[in-house]
Amino acid sequence: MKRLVIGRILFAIPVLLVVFSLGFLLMKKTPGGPFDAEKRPPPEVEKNLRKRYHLDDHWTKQYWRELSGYLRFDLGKSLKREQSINEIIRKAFPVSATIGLIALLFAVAVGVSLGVLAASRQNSWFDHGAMFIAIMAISTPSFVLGPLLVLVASMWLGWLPAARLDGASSYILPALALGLIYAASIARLARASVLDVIRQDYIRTARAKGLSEGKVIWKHAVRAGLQPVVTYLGPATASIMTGGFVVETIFQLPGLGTYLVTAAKDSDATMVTALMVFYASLLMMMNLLVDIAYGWIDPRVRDARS
Amino acid sequence: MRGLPVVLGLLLVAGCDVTKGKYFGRIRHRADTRTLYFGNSAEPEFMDPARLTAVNDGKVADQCFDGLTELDPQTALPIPALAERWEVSPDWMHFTFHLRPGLKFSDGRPLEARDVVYSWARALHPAWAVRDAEEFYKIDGGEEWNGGRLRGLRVATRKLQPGRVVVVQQISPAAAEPSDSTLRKPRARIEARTDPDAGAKVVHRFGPGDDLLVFDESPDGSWLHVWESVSLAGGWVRASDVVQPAADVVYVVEGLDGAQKGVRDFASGKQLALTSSLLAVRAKDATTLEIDLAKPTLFWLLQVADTTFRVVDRYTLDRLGAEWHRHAGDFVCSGAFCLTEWKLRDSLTLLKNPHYWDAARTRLDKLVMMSIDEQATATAVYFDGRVDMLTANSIPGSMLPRLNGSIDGKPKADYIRLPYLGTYFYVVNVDEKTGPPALKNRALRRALGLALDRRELPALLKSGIVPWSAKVPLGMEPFTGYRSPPGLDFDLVAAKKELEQARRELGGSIPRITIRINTGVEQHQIIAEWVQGQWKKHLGLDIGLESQEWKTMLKALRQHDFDIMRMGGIASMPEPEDFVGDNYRKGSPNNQPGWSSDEYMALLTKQQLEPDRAKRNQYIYEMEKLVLDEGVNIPLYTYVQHHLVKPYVCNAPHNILDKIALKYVWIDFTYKCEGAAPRPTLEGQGSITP
Repeated sequence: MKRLVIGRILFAIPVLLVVFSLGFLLMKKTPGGPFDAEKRPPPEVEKNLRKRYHLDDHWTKQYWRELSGYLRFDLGKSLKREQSINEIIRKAFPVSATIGLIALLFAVAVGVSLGVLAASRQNSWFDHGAMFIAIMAISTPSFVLGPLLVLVASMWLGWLPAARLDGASSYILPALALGLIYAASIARLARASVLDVIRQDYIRTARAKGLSEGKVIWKHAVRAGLQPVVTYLGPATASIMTGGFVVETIFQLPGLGTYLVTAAKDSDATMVTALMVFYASLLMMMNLLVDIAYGWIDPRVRDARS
Repeated sequence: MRGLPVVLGLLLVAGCDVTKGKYFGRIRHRADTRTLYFGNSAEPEFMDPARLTAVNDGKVADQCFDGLTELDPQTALPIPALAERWEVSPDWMHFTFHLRPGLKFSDGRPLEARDVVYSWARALHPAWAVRDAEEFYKIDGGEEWNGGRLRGLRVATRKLQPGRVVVVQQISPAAAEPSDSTLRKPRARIEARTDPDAGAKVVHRFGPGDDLLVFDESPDGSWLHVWESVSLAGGWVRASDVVQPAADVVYVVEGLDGAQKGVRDFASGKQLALTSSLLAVRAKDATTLEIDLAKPTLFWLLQVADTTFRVVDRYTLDRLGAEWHRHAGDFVCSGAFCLTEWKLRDSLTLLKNPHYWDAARTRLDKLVMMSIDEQATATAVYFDGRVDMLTANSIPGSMLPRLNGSIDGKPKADYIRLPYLGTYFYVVNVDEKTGPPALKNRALRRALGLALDRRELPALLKSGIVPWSAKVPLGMEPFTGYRSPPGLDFDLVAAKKELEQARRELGGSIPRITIRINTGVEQHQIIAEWVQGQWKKHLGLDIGLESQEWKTMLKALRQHDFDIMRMGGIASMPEPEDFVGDNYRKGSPNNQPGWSSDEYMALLTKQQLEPDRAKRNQYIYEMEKLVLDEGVNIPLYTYVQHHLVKPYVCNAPHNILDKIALKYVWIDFTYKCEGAAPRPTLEGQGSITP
């Protein structure tokens, strides 16, 4: 276990360096800058701007300046907003993470129970119904689902606020809009793998020993059947926490996803690079957690490692 | 992501059926009538009035900082603000502003003329890199100051050589020289004080960040040698002619250029002399401000109302540094409200400034200005009754027919539409090097302009825009008396004649031309397809259409790498030369079509030196006529602005520039709004033709 963690962290360093360099070079090659507008400022002003943001330095000097900041965990300042990127991440990421976590809990709770119940009642009306809903949910993108939820729950019924974070009730719609698609995927994964496990010999043994059906399913089948779900959860967690741009926009949540998109639109080079590196490290961390979780869920993996 | 606004908009249109009432959405009455919830657009980038560039940033900063003048909330003409009156020389080059007596910043410190001088000199300071610094170039010496060519004076110190630029790092009140260790201490707070050497006269003192030029002095110290100055001619000047700063203060300075870069030295006040007076803005006394301009500027009273010109507190900037404006609650304001809390991508909270000169009129105690990126989201929040008014144009285009009554004939009572001082137009590339040969043909350009039946546009766009064939937008007349010449309006016979001529001159066939628009806005696509259709139908021309990401398109515009490009212009002030003036100067980086002519340049020179309004208008008229007749710009319509304002919001400022001062607003849940200006109505709009 220790070796796994240390190995992954050592591996992360070159990966992040490549991500940083790619981000830096791509943004250097992108046309336009954060100060572009229809009207071009006089040369004096352009000179002052370039000087203030060190854009007149040679690119290797700029590269080193930014990189040495990263080594001190200082991601620099956004060119467009002249605001510390560390501060933006510190303030905005917890919002994305909270919404993501609620959505994830919802997705796991709903997805796993639906999937397992459907598997244990294979080919029943419940199974068909649940899988039909899952297919529907998977095919509905959040930019359709979000406004639909606003329309029904806020505009028609007036039960929940239409947007913005304002009290606990305002988390419900965004978490639903974000989590439903994942809940549906998890339900389908869980159903398929539990069905697979149910046909195994050891389940037959458990049944033959006279265990109750509930215990067979929830204690033996689910534990083994969750493995593909856990595999899926790693990247899903990362993408749920980072890919919330659409939901953050629809519900005006002060999360991080929107910053990445607006920074790209504004050609805000430092911001884009910093967020790329941040998201890359987040993704690697999630994958590491998944690997650790494998060992916990499946004793065979743990044994094989030690 | 292009689909997102469309889907949101369509769903909202469906959602509108939930209410068929007089107003759009829910109205929530509350006990608190002293707080206004204002739906602003995207998260602001800056709150520093000089450095912000986005419209939504300005809407918040305008409430926090005040200028010499402000714009009348309804007519947008300049009215007194910090200055209670002013005198203007007949040539419109010398202005004297008289500040109200007893003005105060939000911390109670007196606000004096020298605070205005400081605010402007700092906005022009090269180190602050203010994007809109050009607005100050009308002040004599402004361009030189911003370009780093105008500095304060400094006599040589032990380590720093004459001719070198230094920056003041720190000042110390001690008579003795500070030791090197004090350099690392936080900057001392500068107090206004009287110099005993100078008698009772209040003397200027430099502050951290001021940069100066090291100067030679004559052996007896009575003469100083001046380089590169503007108001003072180059050469030797009398030391007694320049104001001496406090003698008992020690300044820590650091070299900024050449071999002296980073070298630190100390200088007493006696060794220093001030020439920020080289920038022609002078505080004559606490309430009198004199300004000399480089050229006659008829709109100067409007210009000083601009956000960039608003007054900031020098001590705040010294204390908090470049990011002072992010320290909500800690910085000092000069406006009716002051920012107390800034929640990222959520809201900015402003509280009433009790020291503001107009505090008696200000009825609101608190403003909550919410940052909402997406138009459809803003509209949904308004519908839900959780915001009292929305900033202009935060309504998705697909919703407008539902609000303005073009579907059921019943416009919503809380929907407000009024003209917006701007034009939507196409730029034709006639640049000598890169322009397509076909478009260098004047007859073809004229044919294109003449073949557009712009009267079809209102029905196509359903947003209330006014078809327009001139470059200067509708609505300029009340401010300046300016009326545009007739442009190339729809005339099929003339268009066909011009096309025939173009065909002959181009040798029979007309090469394919392409319209370029920017991606992500549905409206540009709709309009471009309409123009394509018109030119096909009326001229039989096959026109291409391509779209480009905004920044990439701006680069193409700079490099004149296009045939015909979609553009728009919104007035920064109601002045026709904002639309026809320097932007067609030969070699100007802002010359979008790459067109100019000797005749135009002659008129431009005359116009810029002409102090008489009627004559100036006549020059601009002739200039605009040249631009329109040449067909280098194809105007399509003038803009309108759309607002949603709950019926209990009284006296909301609505003007053609969309400049809002929320100090005029109050809330009345009886909807009576006694004494408020009437809301603009939809009647009589959209029927004006150029």
